[in-house]
Amino acid sequence: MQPEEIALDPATARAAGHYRAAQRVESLFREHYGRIVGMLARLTGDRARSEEIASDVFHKLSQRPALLASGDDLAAWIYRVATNAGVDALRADARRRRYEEEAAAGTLRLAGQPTALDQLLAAERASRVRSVLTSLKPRDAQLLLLRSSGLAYRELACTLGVEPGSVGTLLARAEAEFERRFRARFGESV
Amino acid sequence: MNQCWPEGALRAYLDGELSPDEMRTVAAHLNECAACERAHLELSARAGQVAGLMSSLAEVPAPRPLWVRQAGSWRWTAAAVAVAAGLAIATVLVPKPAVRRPAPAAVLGPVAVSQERPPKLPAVMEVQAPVAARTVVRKPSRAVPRPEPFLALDDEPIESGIIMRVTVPGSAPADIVFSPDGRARAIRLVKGTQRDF
Repeated sequence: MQPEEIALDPATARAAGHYRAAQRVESLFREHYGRIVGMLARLTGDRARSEEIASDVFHKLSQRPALLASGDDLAAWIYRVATNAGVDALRADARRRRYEEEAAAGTLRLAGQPTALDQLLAAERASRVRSVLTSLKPRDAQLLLLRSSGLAYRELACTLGVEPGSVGTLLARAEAEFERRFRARFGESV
Repeated sequence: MNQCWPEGALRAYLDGELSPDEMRTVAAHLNECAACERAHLELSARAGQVAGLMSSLAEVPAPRPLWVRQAGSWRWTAAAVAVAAGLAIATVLVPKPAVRRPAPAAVLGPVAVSQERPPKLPAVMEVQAPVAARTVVRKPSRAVPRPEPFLALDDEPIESGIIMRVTVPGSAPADIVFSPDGRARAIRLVKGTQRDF
């Protein structure tokens, strides 16, 4: 079969551009959506909310043709926007606290079961970690979350828009601040 | 090489994020410099603690199966409604099996004949026609769904709700009772009926 000749008039070129952009969004979605939802779910403790946030991020991306046409590292953009939104949601979402309290109450009701205490402790610990993350500077919280999600320093640098050589310093400071605040709030039981 | 290393470099060293040359140099330096070794140990302990705490976030409850889910399940309800609607439409659109055709013919036959005959004997014939019609209505196949008892998923009484039948190809369908807030409240497996409901 012979390939057809494509006349690149402006309208066709625009359509082809849209098509390429849509394809790029789709391939990024396939590659990163699951991981981003997982990461946000860890951060917020609310999977449905995390799916919403992640979908919003990809929607935003699809509305940015200039960004899509550029050669920028879009994965870094996606992670940056997603973790930003996740940290915002963690700060703003008052419902989360209610859910967690309900979950804790539910766990208490099940106190007769052997794993109930473990569940309760795990839920409480996760809730403490989230509350400390909320109190940190957003970039520190993002850095800790992304690092614990397994991103390498170079990826962290791209995502947060910092020099690769400064990641170690930023990470050390973020960890020190996290530990300090955790101890201040919850005593020595880190 | 007696040069002391900044905190950031020691932190990167912990993660193996320095160049191979730098990794070797830092390692050699840590053997010589007590202050840097102390800083390194401190960073290492803190990084471990923070990583441990951050890993506790991994214990977010994964989405539970439909019938165990307790809250925020309106999406499931919507999905179930969509499935039910789809099945309802399918039952309307799918052409009815030809088995049904002969039934009206069989009914109409005697009725047409009875109209042609003088109105003397219809006493019997008119009674027979409806009887013939009834026998064709496939009553026996209707009796197949045998109601199994519902299994409650929680202790709360169920005051009102809707029953959805969920079918997964290859396995038995299940009826699920949803309360108005979208929670799944009770479930039963439907045995013996794969498509008729």
